[in-house]
Parts: sequence; structure tokens; C-alpha cells
Amino acid sequence: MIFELRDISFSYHTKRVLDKINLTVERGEKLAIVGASGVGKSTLLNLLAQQHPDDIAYCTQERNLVTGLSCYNNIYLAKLAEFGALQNLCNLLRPNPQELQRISLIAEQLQIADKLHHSVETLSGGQQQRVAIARAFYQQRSIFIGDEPVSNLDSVTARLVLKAILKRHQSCVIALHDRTMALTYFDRVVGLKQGKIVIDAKPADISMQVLEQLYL
Amino acid sequence: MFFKSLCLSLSMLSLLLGTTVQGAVESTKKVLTFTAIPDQDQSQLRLRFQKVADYLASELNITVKYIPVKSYAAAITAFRNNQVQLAWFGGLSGVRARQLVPGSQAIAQGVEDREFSSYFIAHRSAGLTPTANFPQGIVNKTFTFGSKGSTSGRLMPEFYIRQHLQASPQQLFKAVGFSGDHSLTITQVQAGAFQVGVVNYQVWESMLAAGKIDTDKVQVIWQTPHYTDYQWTIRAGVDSDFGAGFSERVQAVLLAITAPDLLAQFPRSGFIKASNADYLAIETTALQLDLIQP
Amino acid sequence: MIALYRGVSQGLKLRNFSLSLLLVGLLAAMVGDVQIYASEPWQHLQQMLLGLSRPSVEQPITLVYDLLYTLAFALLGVSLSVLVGFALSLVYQHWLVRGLCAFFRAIHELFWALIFIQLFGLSATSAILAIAIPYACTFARVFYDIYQQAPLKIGHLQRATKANFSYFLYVLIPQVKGQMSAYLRYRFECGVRTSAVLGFVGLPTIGFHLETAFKQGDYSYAGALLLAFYLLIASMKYWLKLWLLPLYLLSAIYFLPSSDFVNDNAYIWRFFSQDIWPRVVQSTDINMLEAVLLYADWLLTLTLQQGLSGMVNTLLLSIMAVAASGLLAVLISPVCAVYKGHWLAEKLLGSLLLVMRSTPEYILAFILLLVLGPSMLPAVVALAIHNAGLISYLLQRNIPTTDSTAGLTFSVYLYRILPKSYLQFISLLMYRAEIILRESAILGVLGITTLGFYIDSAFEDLRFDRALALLLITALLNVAVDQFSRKMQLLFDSSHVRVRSKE
Repeated sequence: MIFELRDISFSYHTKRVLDKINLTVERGEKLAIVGASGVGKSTLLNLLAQQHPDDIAYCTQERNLVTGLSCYNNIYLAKLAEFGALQNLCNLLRPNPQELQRISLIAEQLQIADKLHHSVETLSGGQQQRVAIARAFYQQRSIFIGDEPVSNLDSVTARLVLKAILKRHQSCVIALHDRTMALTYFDRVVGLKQGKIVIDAKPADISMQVLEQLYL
Repeated sequence: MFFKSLCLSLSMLSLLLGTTVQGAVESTKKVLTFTAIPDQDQSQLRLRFQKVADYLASELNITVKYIPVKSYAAAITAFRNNQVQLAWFGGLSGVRARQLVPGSQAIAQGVEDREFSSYFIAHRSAGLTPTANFPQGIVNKTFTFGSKGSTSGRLMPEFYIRQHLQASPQQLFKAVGFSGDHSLTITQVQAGAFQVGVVNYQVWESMLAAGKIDTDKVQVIWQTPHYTDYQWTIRAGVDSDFGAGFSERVQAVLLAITAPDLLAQFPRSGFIKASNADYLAIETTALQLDLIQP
Repeated sequence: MIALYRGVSQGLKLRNFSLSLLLVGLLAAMVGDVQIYASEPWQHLQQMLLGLSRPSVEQPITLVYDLLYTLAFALLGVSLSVLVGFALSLVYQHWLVRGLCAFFRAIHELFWALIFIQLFGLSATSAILAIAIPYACTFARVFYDIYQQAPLKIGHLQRATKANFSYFLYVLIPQVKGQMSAYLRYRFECGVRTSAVLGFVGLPTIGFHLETAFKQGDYSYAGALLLAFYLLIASMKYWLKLWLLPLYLLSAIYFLPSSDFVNDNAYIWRFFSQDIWPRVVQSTDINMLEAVLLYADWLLTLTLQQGLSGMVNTLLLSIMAVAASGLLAVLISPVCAVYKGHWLAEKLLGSLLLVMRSTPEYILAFILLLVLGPSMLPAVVALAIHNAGLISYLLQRNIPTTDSTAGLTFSVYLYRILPKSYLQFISLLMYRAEIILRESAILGVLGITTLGFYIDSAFEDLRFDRALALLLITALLNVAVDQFSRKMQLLFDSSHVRVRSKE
């Protein structure tokens, strides 16, 4: 078991976002979270991400890319704490060849290798999203938490990237709005409505109609 | 680019620190350096005193340099820090300099400096006329001194003002200014920016002769009693630095100035011997006005 | 007063703030001396204009050296201060650093120069340090403020607390480096101005001859010097490139004037051990406690005699000058915005702003004194001209050149530019408040007994003990004003801290 939430509620100001949530996630599980916007998905992911941050690559909706910094350095940024300040400084002046190679491989897989040395704000929304995912890959963590990580990608690329995410990480918790993908690639789907978990089952046991209900 | 420039600049600057902290290298060649208080027409100072430097160099047979300074205090500081060994000071600046470097001597003064005085001048809007006695009418006018450290533009006039009116200038006048130097005092009173001002009588006379003063607008309303003013002061220690008897040699050379061209630079009709004791009265007055410490 | 700002919209807050600033300015004018003394300056002004319009130089080589030295001091002083200021900005959140910076910033470059001249004579070292110290403290504050404006905070990313500096390099700096280098460029311009002004106390920059020329009524020479100075500043944007900076620094070091002054550690020791202490505490037969008590007593007397009236006048003058600067900038800025893109008008207005911000206040005050007579008025107007020129220049830099053929009308300005730039205007004005406070110091020539007047007198009388004590008072006043202006800026900070509750 890697995550456990028991009777957890959460409010912003006076607005209750999560209402007595119970959720456990086992090691090796690939979990999709679905639900309408504002239903508390991001809050739920935030709570999970806080549980053992050192094992988690967390890809938030904000992407947290640094404008003015190249894609390469934006990805490199994920491991700053692992290198010394001097090495980090040198890497700014001239990319460290070893790390550059590692990052290039990831970038190739995500089809952004040609943009690696461009400043991140010159990229399209979809490309930026992939930079954020590359940053998560680069950390080589066993757990991936993603908040709509492929929402800006065309469906072909989205599937490709999602498969890569699932393959690279032992356990995944990903919020998605694409119901088909949730049912196709994951081995467990959790549906949220008004701050409560209303669905928690294997994809085989869920029909598309039930999922559509969440958005009504 | 940002970082690369920053790093390069860093190395440049460490170079700079290395050079400046090291400072100027002490020169072994003996050079007599002198300065003069910038009491008037600063643009001409270098021209004026370069002639004096050339004269001293040829008579004393050593290198003599003149350095211009911006303020009375700068002249005194240069003297104190041995940047100059000889200076043409005013009464007050001389007293201050000799107090800071004990053993320094006033060695020569202009013939006129024994009986120096200041003119109180007034713009016509003040409605004041020349008087033989102290002009009581200046009260409640706007008033400007010259430099804060000037003898004829500040010390003595303030002394007479306090003596006759028994109050400080700030209490007596509507506004008190310090123009910085004598020519500027005349400019400002002539323009009516200040109604009354006080100047070195010699600067007034020479500007008047040069046709720079419109007497319809500004006129002298009172002349102060006489006091002792400018002098050449030589720094303590020159005799050991430049050889025994050096002060006397410099004194003799200064007293021997007779060339009209040189004298016109000051302007004085000739130089006579002076001593520190000649400036006791100035010192007492400065003490009274809290312009020097006991 | 705070009630005016509680629970109202941003726009209303700004309006109320502007009006209360103006009101306070008017109140200060009622208390302070702003009388116009009738004078007859016209003949002299005519002569001045005639001279200024016919610039001439007798020795062009002197002018070239003046300009070179001015530039060399500015480049080296500012570069040094960038490094120190950058380092300080990293620890600026510490109250001690913040306080010390406000303290050192408060002392005008001219006074720093006067202090360093005591230690290092009329030398390049004095000039560079006089620029570097206050500038470093300003950089520390401004860089720190710029970091705060980065949209993505380190906290959004960082999980481990270690490797702070790396996060700073990778997260903060890339986001704000544009802003930082724009500020750097602007500060180099300021540095050249400051360097020029250092000539007033005798350092070999262009101010040395400029002041002399004005004092002596040699207006055609003054005109030539001013023109050369304006051209230097106007041309900076063409040649001052960050990547060329190392080259410039090398040349600056090469061109530094040599000084006859012989460094002597004894002078430095004497300054700190004797000069800056009053005679009463220097007696050898008193113990530490007695010395402290005597100093306190001496300080109290000085404060009562000079400090208090100095502070009151400094504040009055500064408040009036801030209000007047704001008012003038509000009048000029729309004109600049509306005419942006009209080639000739834009160039003319650009030159006007350049002249306004680059003419040393001292020179402005000198001219105004002849017209207005000796009250606070010339000082207020001089400060207003300088600061309004600067604020308008900084504001119009941020207005995009209109791409639409319709151009920018006054109405468009009111509805599109003004709402965006007004907050920036207020925050610039608050920044300038601190600087105005310092600058009011050097206008003592008008006879207004500001703190600066007394400090100048103390230096002139070689009473460094008084100078130091008065500088201390000035610096403390500045720290207080800095705190106040920070509070005022916070009133307009729209980013609210999100309150989270967790059950």
C-alpha cells in the first residue's frame, strides 16, 4: 500500500472541496481519477503527493515551467538538489554532457528533442506540457502523480505519451478528463462527484454511461 | 549571455580592487605642491596659480605643482594630509589648517591683508543707502554670505552682525544663504535673488573694474572695519623633507615677488612677513562663533 | 487615513492615495517657506540663455578627459555595486541587512565622497566607493523586490530545503533577468549622473568644470559641458551592451586618473579614532560608561540645536517635492504617451525628459534661485523637474509603440494605458520619495536648513564628529521613511495570501 486516506475532508475558505474521502492505493496500481472540473481532483492529488514526496514525480496542472529558461534546463531543474551549486552553475553556462544525453533520450521519446535548447515560453501549450512530463521522467521516481498531463495533446500523441508515463512508473495516479483513455489504459478508475468518491472499480466493471453521469 | 557577462565582469572587478587598494606609489622625487582657497573665479585659478608655480620652481630650483580644489575645506584637508605643503589661505582657513597641523607657520601676507575688509552690498529693492555706521536696515531682508568657511564672506561679517544686532543671522534675516564664493554673491544680489549680501572688498573692486557690476542695481552700503586676512602658510615638517631652512627660503622667495604680472594674480601690491600671531584675533572670533574648537 | 483604503477597489484606493498625497503636499507648503521673493533676474537670465545657446569650449581635450573619467568612475562604481548588491539581495529578507542597506542608502553620494576624500584623498578610489556603496544598497533592495515579482516562486517547485542557491539560479533569475538587465541599464545611466555630480566636491569629473562654469557665469562653456553630457547619456543605449561590459571595464581601469595622494593608513586610523568623535569623549581619563554618557549628552545638544529643525525642514521639503513631482509627472506622462510614435514629437519629448532628468538638481536650483529667491520653492521645483522627468521617462519606456494606425488618443490613454501604469507610477513615486529625501540634502546652498545643510556645514567646518552624528540622524530618518513607503506600497498589493484550512 502506497497511499491511504481515511475520512479526509478539505475546505478552501468555507467551501468544502473534499468530503470524507476514503482511498487506498497499492504499489503497482495504475489509477485514473475522473470527474467534472472543480470536483476536487487536484486537491485529492495534492493530498496524495504530500504523503511521500521523495518517491513521487508530481506533474501539476500549472506545469511550473520557468519562463526565460531553456527546455533542457527546465527539465534539469528537477534534480537541482542532487547536484552541487557549482555544478548547477556550470550547467547553466554549458550543459553537462552526461545529463544532456539523458535528457535528450527522454525528449526524443516525447517528441520534443528539437526544442530542447529553445526558451520554454516560445513553445506551444502541448509542447510545454511534454516538457513538464519530461521533467517528471528525468527524476526517475517509482510513483507518478499527474493532473491532466496530456490534456493539451492531440489524441495520437496523448496516447503515446500516456503509455510512456505508465510504462516508466511502477505506480500511477492520474486525473483525466478523457473517459475512453481512463477505461483503456488503467487498471482502476475512481470517479469523483461533489467531493465524494462515487465510483471505484476496475474498468471492466464500469460502463461509459456510468462515467458520463459524473459530468451531469 | 547574462551569466557569461556577469562572470567576466566579476574577474575584471577583482582586478580593479587589486589596483586601487594598492593605491598610488609613493614618489621618491621631492615635489613641492601647493594650493589656494577657491574664493573667486575658479575657472581662472589654474591659470593664475600656474604662473606662481612656475616662479616658485625657478626660484627654489625644485619641481613645484599647483593643484586646484573645490572648497575651502578641501584646501585644508589637502594641507592636513600632506597632499600640499604650502597654501594660500584665507584668515579662517589658515587658522584651521595650522590648528590641524601643529607647527605650521604663516610666513607671508599681502600688503593689503593687514587692513582687509568686507563690503555689505544691497540690491536697490532693499531700499538701503550707504552709511558710515552699521546698516541697521538690513534686518528682515534676505541675506547671503559667501562660502561657509570664508573669512571676509562669513566669519567677520557674521561677527559684526552679531556685535551690532545682538542676534544670530538666522534670527535676523528672512532667509540666509551661502552662495559659495564672492563672485556668486555679487551675481545673486545683483539679480535681486537676495536683497543684501557681503563680499570680499577686493573681489568687488576687481569685478567693478572689469565692468561686471551694474551699480544701478547693486551698491556697497557699508564697509566693515579692518581685519587681517589672507596669508601663505607652510606645513610643519618641510624643513626635514626639503632640507633645513626650507621655510625661510620659501618665505624669502615669496617676499621677493615684485613682478606686476605675478602680483596681479592675487591681486596684491606686494608681500610682507606674517606670523601665526597676526591671526590671533581671527582665531578668537572663530572660537566665539563656534567655527573652530578650542 | 487608513480607513480611506479599507475595502475599496484598487482604482479608488489609488485615487484616494493620490489626492491625500497632494493634500499633504499642500499642507506642507502652508507650513514651509515657499514665498516668492521679487527679483530682477531677467538681465542675468538673458545672458545665461545667450551663453547656453552658444556652447563653446576652449580646450576640447579637457572636456574629453572629463567625460572619460566620468564614465570610468560610473562603470566601475556601478559594476562593483551590482556584485555586492546582488550578494546582499540574497539575504535581504534579514532585518539587519534590510536596515543596514536603508541606512547606507540614506547617505548621499556627495557625503560618501566627502568622507572618502578624508581617507583616500581626491582619488579614483574615493569616487568609485562613493558610487558603489549607496548603489549596492539600492541594488540589494530593488533586486529583492524584483525577485518578489517573479510569477513562479521557488516554493512551487522546491521540496528539499537544500540547494537553495541553485533554485534561485534556475527558477528566479531566468524569470526576472529581463527586468534586472533593464534596471541595470537604467542604473548605469544614474551612475553617470552621480559620477558627474561628484565633480562638485572636487573629483575630476565633468561636474567639476560644470559647477565652476555656472558659478563664474561662463555660460557658453557650461552650455558646451551640459550638451556633451546630454549626448553622452542619450547615446548610452546605443553602446552600452551587457556583453561589451567586460571590455568597457578594462578600458575604464586603464583610463582611471592617477592621483598624487599617498595612501597612509595613519589618516584612516586618525579618521576613525579621533576625527569622528567629539572632543568631550576623547579625554583619556574617563571610562567607557562615562564616555557613552558624555556622547549621549553631546548628541542630545546637537539634535536640539540642528537635528530637529533639520529633520522638520527636510521632511517638509521632501513632502512638497514628492507631491510636486507626482503632479508634474501626471501632467507630462499622458503627453508622452499620446505622442509616442509621432516621430518628431517623440524625439522632442524624449529630449525634454532627458534634459529634465539629467541636469543636476544643484544646477537647476541655482537657476531657479535667481528667479524665485531664497525659499524652499526653488528646491521643490528643481526636485520636481528632475524626478518628474525620471518618472515619466520610466513610465513611457513601458508603453508599447502603438501598432494600430488609429494611434493613441487621450481617451485610449485614459482607459488602456493609465489603469495599467498608475500603480507603477505610485510605486515609482514612493521609491523616489526616499531619493528626494537624500537629494534635499545637497540643496543647502539655498540656505534652507535641511539636515543636508548642517551636514555640509559640518564638513566645511571640518567637524566630522558632527557630520557623522547628523548623517546618523539622516539615515535613521530614511529608514523610517523607507518603512513607511513600504507600508504604503503594501496597501496596493492585490495578491492576497490564500488561507487554507485543513480538517
